[in-house]
Amino acid sequence: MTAVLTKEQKTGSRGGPTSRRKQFLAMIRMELILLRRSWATMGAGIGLLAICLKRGAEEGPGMPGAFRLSGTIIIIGVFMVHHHLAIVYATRRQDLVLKRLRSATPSEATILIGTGSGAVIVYLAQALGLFLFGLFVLDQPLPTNPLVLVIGVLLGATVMAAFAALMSAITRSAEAAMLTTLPTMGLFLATPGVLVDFGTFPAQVEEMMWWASPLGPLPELLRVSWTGVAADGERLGFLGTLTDSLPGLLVLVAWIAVMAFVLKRLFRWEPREGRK
Amino acid sequence: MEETVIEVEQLRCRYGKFEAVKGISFEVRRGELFALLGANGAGKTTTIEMLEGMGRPASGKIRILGRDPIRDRAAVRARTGVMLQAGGFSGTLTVRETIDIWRDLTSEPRSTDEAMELVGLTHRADVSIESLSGGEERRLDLAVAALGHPELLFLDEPTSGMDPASRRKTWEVVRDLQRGGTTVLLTTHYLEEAEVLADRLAIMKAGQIVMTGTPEEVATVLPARITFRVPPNSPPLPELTHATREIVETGLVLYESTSLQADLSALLAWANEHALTLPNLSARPASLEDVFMDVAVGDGAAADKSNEGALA
Repeated sequence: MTAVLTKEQKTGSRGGPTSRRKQFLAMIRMELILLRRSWATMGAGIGLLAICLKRGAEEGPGMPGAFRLSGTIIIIGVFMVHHHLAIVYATRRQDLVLKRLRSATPSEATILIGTGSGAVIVYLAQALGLFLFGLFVLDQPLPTNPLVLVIGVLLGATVMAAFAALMSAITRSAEAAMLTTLPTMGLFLATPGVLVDFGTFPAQVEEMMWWASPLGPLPELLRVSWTGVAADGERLGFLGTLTDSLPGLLVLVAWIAVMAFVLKRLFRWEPREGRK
Repeated sequence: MEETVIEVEQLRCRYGKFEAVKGISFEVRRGELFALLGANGAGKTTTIEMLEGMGRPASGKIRILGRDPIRDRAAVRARTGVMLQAGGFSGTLTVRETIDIWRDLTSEPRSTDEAMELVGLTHRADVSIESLSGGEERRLDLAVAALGHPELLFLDEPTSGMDPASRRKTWEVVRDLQRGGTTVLLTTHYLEEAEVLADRLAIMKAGQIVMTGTPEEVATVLPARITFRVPPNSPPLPELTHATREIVETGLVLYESTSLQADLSALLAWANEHALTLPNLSARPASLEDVFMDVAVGDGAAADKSNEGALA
């Protein structure tokens, strides 16, 4: 207790200066430990995956497994990287973890992304599980454009995570976060090609949804990059799928830029009643 | 190295219509322990959080280590340590895990063992934070704040929720850190804490600093007190040159004296002359507590006196 430190002890224990990478890895480590200790989350994650595998296996009329699985990969993201992550942000805010981190050296971006990292990593593992399921169990072909597929999943996860951060900011408590995400979950799930297949709604409605939902271009992106079949049925190669997907990718990037701008202003680092 | 570690000029902060801090100014020099003392709601936490760069002032100037805590965030944070008023850790992590993670978030950190040793939590290393007592959690918080050998430590009510033994241990740690060259700004509503630790202090009330100085200086703002019970068959009580007299309750008299030794001598001479024994006689200088009760809770007569130039 009464540790009066000598000069040698002090200098002897000093490591190098902390880097952004080191800080980020520390935050991932923290989130993964917390995730591992949260049995409810782990159970929900695995249960969700099981349900989604079952859904992926059910072939709709004229619906190859890869089509189905593309939507399913998004559904699982809506629950994991949007709904669950919003609760994570709200919990870290309520426990003053965000505020404590912000009082120290990590930048705001490091804290925001680091806190989201656990949910995103689990989501990527789930998506990989679905993908392998498609490949080996449903005998789906290898993706035509794995690059676009991976970038699409990552950008989609980023959009959903950014909305999770925003929704958590307008939420009073972790419990309330379960409700505040309902409208955005509804919006994401109603994106054509996610929960309901393309062609279910009239064309105008689908087009409106493409623009209105931040995930609008994503289902198409995943399908085309996996199967190489464009919306009009044309068969595309690697380059073809890339050019076909480019506008969609740009729309997702634009959403992320908008959200970064919005979060910079609206994200809350401490509970509302936290000040005296 | 800057000799003035904290510089605050005309600092104001408002939440909507409520002005929480109303134009305060003070300086903290290197190596000093400066205490902001005040009742709840006096504006202490709002002030310390603006200094930490967490809250944006409505107006006024803040310099921490010569820099702006918000604009020069990265440069300032690397040299400061912060202990919030409460919490900031996830309950299911253990003490060791928490410190390990925070080491990676801190420049040139102490080793985990050294940090636990510093605050006496070595035997609790593998206990989860939700199982710690309130006092132990505060000590972990202090260890994390001090992890990077900060030049400046912000401690917001560091011993709230601690039992007296824990509080004393924490004071020792803070003193050790100060001896090692760390400048400390702390807020507290425990007078004893300010009296024991602070080199200088400022008493805040309703968003303003009503008094500032060393604990001794502040205590001498109020007159010393002489009290006794009026003995039976006493002749009329004497007037003392430097004191006012007041009967506080039936039979109990209070002299408030600005020259304790002279007035006490005169009083005792009077008592001897009349062969009186003064029951319950007590004479003592004003304490920090008297001043605090007067300015932070009461009507603030002492603050008016200090404004007349009793204190710098």
